Amino acid sequence: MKRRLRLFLTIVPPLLVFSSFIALLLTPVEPIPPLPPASRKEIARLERKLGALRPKGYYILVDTAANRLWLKRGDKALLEAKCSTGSGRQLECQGRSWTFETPRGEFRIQGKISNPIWRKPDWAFLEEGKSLPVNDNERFEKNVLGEYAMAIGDGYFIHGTLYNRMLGRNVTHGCIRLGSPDLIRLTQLAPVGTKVYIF
Amino acid sequence: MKNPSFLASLPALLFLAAPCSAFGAAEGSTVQNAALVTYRLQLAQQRVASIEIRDGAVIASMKGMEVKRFPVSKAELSSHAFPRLSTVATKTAAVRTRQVIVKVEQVSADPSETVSSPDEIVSVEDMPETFALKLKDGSVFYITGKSRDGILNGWRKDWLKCRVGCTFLFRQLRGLPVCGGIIEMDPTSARHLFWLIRPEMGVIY
Repeated sequence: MKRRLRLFLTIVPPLLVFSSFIALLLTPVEPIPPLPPASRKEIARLERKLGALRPKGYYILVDTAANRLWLKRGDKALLEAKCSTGSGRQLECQGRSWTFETPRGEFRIQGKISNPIWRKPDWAFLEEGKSLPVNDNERFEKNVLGEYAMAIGDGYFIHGTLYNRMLGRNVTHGCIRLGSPDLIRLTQLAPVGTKVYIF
Repeated sequence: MKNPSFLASLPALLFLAAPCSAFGAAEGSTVQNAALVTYRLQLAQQRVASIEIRDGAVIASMKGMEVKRFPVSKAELSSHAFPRLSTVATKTAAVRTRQVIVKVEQVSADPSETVSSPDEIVSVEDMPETFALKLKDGSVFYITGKSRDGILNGWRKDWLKCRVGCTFLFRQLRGLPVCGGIIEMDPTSARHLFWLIRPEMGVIY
């Protein structure tokens, strides 16, 4: 037994080290791009172009790590609010799986709904240990999304919550939840078309 | 090799072996500035956030505006004359990050509440404070929150640091103009940075 272990320790570690060195040597890497042309005029032109990409008017920033939402105009923050974003957990059922994450990137407020009704997706039933409804009417649930819901695309919304004590934590299925006063203020201030930046 | 401080100092020595002057996306000459603005412009056209590694901070940006800043307390970095643009290939945590996978059979039927227990969520607190960042151009960075939490995790961090150092060294030996560095920041910032970084994310350094 001792001999076998000694043999194993003699062969395997050097083999692992050697193979990792080979792997490192063979790992493809991207070439470094060539430097762009340089002149002060060119830099000024590029900076103007960069400035033009920054959002005009109102925009919303969402920090999914800190669970904070800001409504801004230029550099001025008009609203700072605690929010809740995706819990990051995965749900698996009958070969299907869902990851409850808030999507990141650039979005846009596509529409506002007052007194929204939630159309429960499949995972909502499965998560509660229920079977999927046969009748579609069983999917609709009132008074769970707060006073307003703002669609940001791909089925995600900024909406209210019944669980105010959960604000500031990653607890949602991907939507962004806000407390009632902040949601009302955000809905009043941010027009349809407002850019939403989630990071 | 028995002394872990040797392991800890090895990558630093490797990085310092590379020619060292100013690091990162430092603003200086016209050529440097032009490169920096061009790269920022390229990243601003994307729909997702990007990061810029600079001397005193790691800066996250979207659409050309700074959205988050992670102050760097100490950096040991190899140098390069001009700012560079690359994308994240991988991020490797020193300690395995927590995943929550729920099978439907395990779910208790409680329609009154959706998710509530901290055991059921993955938050920024679950993120590692020490990780390695590999870029597609071959450059490697070791980012650490610098707090020690037990001998085992200390060894894991040293092991990761050593791997980063060796990767850097081997790429240098291949003649690739790669960069490497050790970046220290407070543990909270490191966790938030790990949360923010995603593969394919643009990086200026």
